[in-house]
Amino acid sequence: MKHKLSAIAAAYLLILLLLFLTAGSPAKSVFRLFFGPFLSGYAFANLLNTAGLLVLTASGIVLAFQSGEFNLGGEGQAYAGALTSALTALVLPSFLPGVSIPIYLIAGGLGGMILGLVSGLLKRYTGTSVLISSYLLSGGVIAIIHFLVAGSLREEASYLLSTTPLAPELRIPRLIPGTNSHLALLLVPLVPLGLWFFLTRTVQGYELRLKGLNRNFAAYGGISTGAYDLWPITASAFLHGFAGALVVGGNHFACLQGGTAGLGWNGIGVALIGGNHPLFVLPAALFIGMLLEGIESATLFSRIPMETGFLIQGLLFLLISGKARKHGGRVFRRSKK
Amino acid sequence: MTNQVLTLWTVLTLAGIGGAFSNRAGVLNIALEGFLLLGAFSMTAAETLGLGFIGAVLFALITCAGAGFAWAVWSVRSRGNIFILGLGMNLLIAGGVTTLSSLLYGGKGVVQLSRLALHGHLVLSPWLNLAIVMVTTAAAWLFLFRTPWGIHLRAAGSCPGMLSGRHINPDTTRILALTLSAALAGAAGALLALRIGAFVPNMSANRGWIALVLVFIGASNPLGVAAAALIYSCAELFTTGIQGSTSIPGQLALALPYFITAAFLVAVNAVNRLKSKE
Repeated sequence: MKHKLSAIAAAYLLILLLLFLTAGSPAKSVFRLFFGPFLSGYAFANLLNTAGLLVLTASGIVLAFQSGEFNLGGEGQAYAGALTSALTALVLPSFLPGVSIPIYLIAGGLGGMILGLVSGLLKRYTGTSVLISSYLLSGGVIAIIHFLVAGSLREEASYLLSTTPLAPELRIPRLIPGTNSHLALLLVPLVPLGLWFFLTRTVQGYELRLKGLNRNFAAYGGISTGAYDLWPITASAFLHGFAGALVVGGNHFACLQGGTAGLGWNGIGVALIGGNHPLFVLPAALFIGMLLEGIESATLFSRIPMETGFLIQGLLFLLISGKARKHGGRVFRRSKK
Repeated sequence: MTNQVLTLWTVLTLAGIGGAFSNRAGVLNIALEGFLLLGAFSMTAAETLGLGFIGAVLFALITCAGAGFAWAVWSVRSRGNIFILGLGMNLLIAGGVTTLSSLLYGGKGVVQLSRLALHGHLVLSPWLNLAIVMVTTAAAWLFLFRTPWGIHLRAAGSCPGMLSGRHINPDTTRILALTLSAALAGAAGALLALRIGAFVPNMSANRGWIALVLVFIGASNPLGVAAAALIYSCAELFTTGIQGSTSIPGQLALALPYFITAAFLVAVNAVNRLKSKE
């Protein structure tokens, strides 16, 4: 716990340093860094939206992790979900939004799921590590979607690089008009709750965790480990795709180039901070959401570029996944005799 | 054309040999891509801030070795997952370079080298590229297979217990291997920036990932890596040349390294699995 808090503190310190170096009025920026997400209804809705999306992707990471796999392809899965849902929504009728909206959201989930399914099949039949294959597939798919959205799928009339926008009826209804908060966000907390119940209160969840802890022991106990190689990563990718679809239906109303960027990496950050426990994902997502929205609010009027987000993500990865060990002060030690 | 092949060959060979060192030591350096970018940027930054050419390249080497050393100490000693720690470093460098570029140059666009015109003919000479590849490859091979340090490095990956038995800490060896690999990738990045004559955002263009493929194809042997890099460089420029440089969209080409890496890994794994079943 301590090293996670120090990792977050380090992220804040780095941003503070950058703000002092660049901002015209550092005091104002620092205030915004901590309180920006609470200054207006609009900003607060953004915080809830970001946290909600991260709860979904982080739940996916936790599910895969508990089965012993690392899903590092979240970025591509969310992006694929966004594209699939945006394209599906275009062919759906707009007079029955109650039916059409869930359909295109699920279509988005399935679009992301395909990527996870490929990783799962590769693991199941060739033994390729999910960690590596999911990352590589995602990297390739992101480049292809970038290309499609800027090229053949681009809406000519739009000044953004995006697909054709959704019909107004097909947008997810707002909680607070004019903000990024929407109805589907209310259902999001059910995902980690359901995941917690599944993992700790059902036989399949027990088998999944056992396989994650010790694959050989699970196989020895008669658990079909092959199935648990395949479906947890697939379901994890579905959750990422669904989050991407929510960005389309709830925020952008089209697939924007790079519109889902950060969902995958930050989801991993949230899962790492939450200790890969489904319930701790909720507070961790709020926390990272506050950090991200605070940075956005503070840097709005500074010269800090958007890519600074990568800096923060990288720092969190390095600090949290490399847990500092207590013993040993010197770098170069001779091994013990 | 020949010049382009030679430059790409040099860049990929340097980064690939760096990757091979780290792979032999049992800690594959996933962050080659990041160090390429860092090398290119630190070289450009030092050059525009008034350091001479050689000084700028040395500065890039020292920066990458220093950053690589700090990262390696943290990664190896913390026993974290080296793949995730490498990705973290990639993200850190990608974000850090863009942020620094905005702070130093007031934008995140192209940064031109100032004195390129004076020294360009020397740096761009094909003979220099050829010499760099030959010397590095030969030196790396000799180091790895004909010196005690090379044996220690390989043992850190294949048989760490043997090192411990001889009172050499395998962690120390791994840290040094990662530092060396970061410095080599940084040198590759510096050369890339010299060739283009500027720092361009995302100029590493996934070359670091291609270098990782070459590590696998070349069986982590410097000679194999250099040979694979030559074949890849010819193939890449042949395909872009034959179709006309405009017909392969740049963004689609960016997807290729990922898919080639994945396909190669899967093929290797599938073959291994078939072999073990026999």
